[in-house]
Amino acid sequence: MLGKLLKNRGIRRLYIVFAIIAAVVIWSDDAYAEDAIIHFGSETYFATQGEGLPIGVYINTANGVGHYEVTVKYDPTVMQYVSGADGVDPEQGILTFVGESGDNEVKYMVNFNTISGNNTAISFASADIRMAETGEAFNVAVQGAAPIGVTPALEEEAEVDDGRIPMGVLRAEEMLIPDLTVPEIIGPKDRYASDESIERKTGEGGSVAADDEEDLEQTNSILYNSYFLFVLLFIALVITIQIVATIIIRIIKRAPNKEKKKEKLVRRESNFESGNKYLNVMDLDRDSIDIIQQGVYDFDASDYLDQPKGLQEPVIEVDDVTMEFHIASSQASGLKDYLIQLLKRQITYRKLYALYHVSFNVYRGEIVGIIGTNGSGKSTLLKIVSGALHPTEGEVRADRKKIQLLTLGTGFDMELTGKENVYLNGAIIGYSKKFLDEHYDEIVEFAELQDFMDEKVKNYSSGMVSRLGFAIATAGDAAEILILDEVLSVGDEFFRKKSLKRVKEMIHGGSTVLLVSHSMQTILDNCTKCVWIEKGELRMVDEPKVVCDAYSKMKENEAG
Amino acid sequence: MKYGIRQYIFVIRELTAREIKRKYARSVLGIVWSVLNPLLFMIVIGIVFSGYSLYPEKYPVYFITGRTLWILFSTATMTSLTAFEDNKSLFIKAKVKRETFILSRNYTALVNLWFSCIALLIVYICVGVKINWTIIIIIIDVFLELLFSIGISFILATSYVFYKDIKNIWNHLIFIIAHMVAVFVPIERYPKNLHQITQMNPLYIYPNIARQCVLYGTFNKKELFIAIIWAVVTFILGIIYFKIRENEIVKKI
Repeated sequence: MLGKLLKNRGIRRLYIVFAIIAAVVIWSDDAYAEDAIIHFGSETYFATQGEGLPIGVYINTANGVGHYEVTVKYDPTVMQYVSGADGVDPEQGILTFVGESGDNEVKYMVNFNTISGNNTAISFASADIRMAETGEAFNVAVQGAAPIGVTPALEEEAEVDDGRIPMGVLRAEEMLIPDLTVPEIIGPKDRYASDESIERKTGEGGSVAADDEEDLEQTNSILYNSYFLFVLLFIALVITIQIVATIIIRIIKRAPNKEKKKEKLVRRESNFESGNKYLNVMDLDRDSIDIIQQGVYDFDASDYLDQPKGLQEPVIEVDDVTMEFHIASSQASGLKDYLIQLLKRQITYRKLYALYHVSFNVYRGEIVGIIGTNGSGKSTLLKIVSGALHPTEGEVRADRKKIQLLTLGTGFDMELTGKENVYLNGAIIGYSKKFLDEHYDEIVEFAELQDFMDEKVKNYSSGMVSRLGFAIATAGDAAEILILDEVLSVGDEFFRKKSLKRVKEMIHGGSTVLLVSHSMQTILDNCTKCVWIEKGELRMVDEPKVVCDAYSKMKENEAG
Repeated sequence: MKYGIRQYIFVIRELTAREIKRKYARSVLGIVWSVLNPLLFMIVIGIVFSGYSLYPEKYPVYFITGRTLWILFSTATMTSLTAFEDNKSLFIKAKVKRETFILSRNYTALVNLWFSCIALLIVYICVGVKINWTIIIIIIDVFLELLFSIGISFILATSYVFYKDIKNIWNHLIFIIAHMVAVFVPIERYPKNLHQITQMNPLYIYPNIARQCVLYGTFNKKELFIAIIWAVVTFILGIIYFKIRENEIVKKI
């Protein structure tokens, strides 16, 4: 189902369906504003007659309170207003809070005196709260009216002495909560903001006096401040460790830097020696050594240009390329390991030259074979030529846009079917969707996999995978510079011939080819020039026959 | 054979298709799971946490909107973490821009977000949320968050090549961050001192913008501005970090 969805532009269709649904739902232009919540500091209040009673009034929003106007109704027969509000009507028992703020919370502390022992309540009468940014009205949710129990003064003393529950004090549930409808709420009606949304605070205990609450808040804030301090300290610690670590790295790195130059000199000498050694081992007489050495060192000298090939400009110029790898002597697999080893100063790098001052040129129309034993730096060279890797020293001058690297099955996903892989791999190689649609049948035919395309690639044999890989890789027009990495030893004898034919076609189409192969025969058959790289060093550049002879001689000698 | 922007998009789409096919290849429910998963989460978390909200009725919408955007970030970064490592051979040999691997992983996360949008839609219709023009802001918001995730992904994927335990560390970090960005518990319930800092946290901002748009039909310009800055700066930093270490990655891989 999913495959179809994706292939039939299903996702796109899904977007469209989604957009339509969204559009249908959007029909309503009923913009409803954001919520504000007004509430008192506590759920219930208790006081003794004659004592002061502080009550907190809060406006909370998530988005900044702008202009606000809130009125609160209290019972003037029980309580006497002392201070804290912006305006008061002592006869009606109405307090007003007016102002402008940018914060998310507006807080008032209103002080009352209790004048008679009775049960009463304090409630919000009206509220108009505007948003700080837009001036739009908030929907106001009222979080309860607070019942107030005022204990008559005389009774209270007796009861405290007895230690009994005071008779005159009703618990919150027993008290009558006055009608809590909020009149005059300005702003569009919100389906949420109703009496239902009046939230009861649970678990905060029945009666917390305002003072206590303040205390609690204060301790809380101290607690959180210390928590913050802790976090900040931790971050500071991490940063310090980082800085120290970098300094240590610098120190470690600086030391080998001095050795580096020395090493290079040594390396150059040993380079020469080992070169001689190889040649000596080959048991050639003095003259041929000279010839070979000339072959090596004078290759990009002008005499090569004299060859009747009409080559003026090299297409690929490999100019004194050195590739240096740092291999940590003890591999730190993780950040933790790395830090620990860094602190223990255990990290030492071993330098490895994958390529050491290699230079040669490739001219238009040439077919250059690259040989060398495993690990001699062939693939590193290819990576550098194709532009995947930047050399440590020297440079490769070539038009990267014209280079095409043909490798088999890179990017094949075993979980996908053959067909899906054709598209995936084709996309990665650089074919457009249109091109793949047009050439799909051709590819399948060439790979001889007509019956297997809807099969998962993990069920293919390795020969089938390489056939498909080859078919995709060579489906397009040949690029001007082709790099073939072990492409020609694919499949059975018949397919190999077929693929060789295909490659030869491409070559005759005027491409310049760089070919890596372990098979000496392939190189002898196809190449016009051969480059031999051994242990990162350029050993020889010459006619394929000469190079291959020397190469096989060396191998024989090593074996014997 | 030319690599235009079109070709990149094609490559990204193919890579994304691969990711999705692989992801759902072995599951019976397939893509339906992408829809069910947020719904199940919403139900369970709704039951457990709605008491913490100032408006319990709104909590399901609050949670599922926030979570969907949070999941975009967390899956995008978690999957991108191994993007280079998983595509080793392509990374070296293919001529594709290396950035595509990260982009395709992020795009996969975005496609997943689209599927979870079905779940969102179901919830919105059931709860009766009225959707108005501010939904456009959500699209911008998602785009910004994606940009932010891409930046972080670059940094993570690059580091992962060198330090394999970044994966574990990031797993834990994601878990911790999830509790710092008001996905489960609304910010009003956070300690007051944390408000200021949380409101600067990009991972709080992106889900929050979406929530504001859906729940209230409004958005805060300042918040959007901060969101843009975070996205752009992180994106650029990520790319720079990757470019600096690109050669090292090739060597290391």
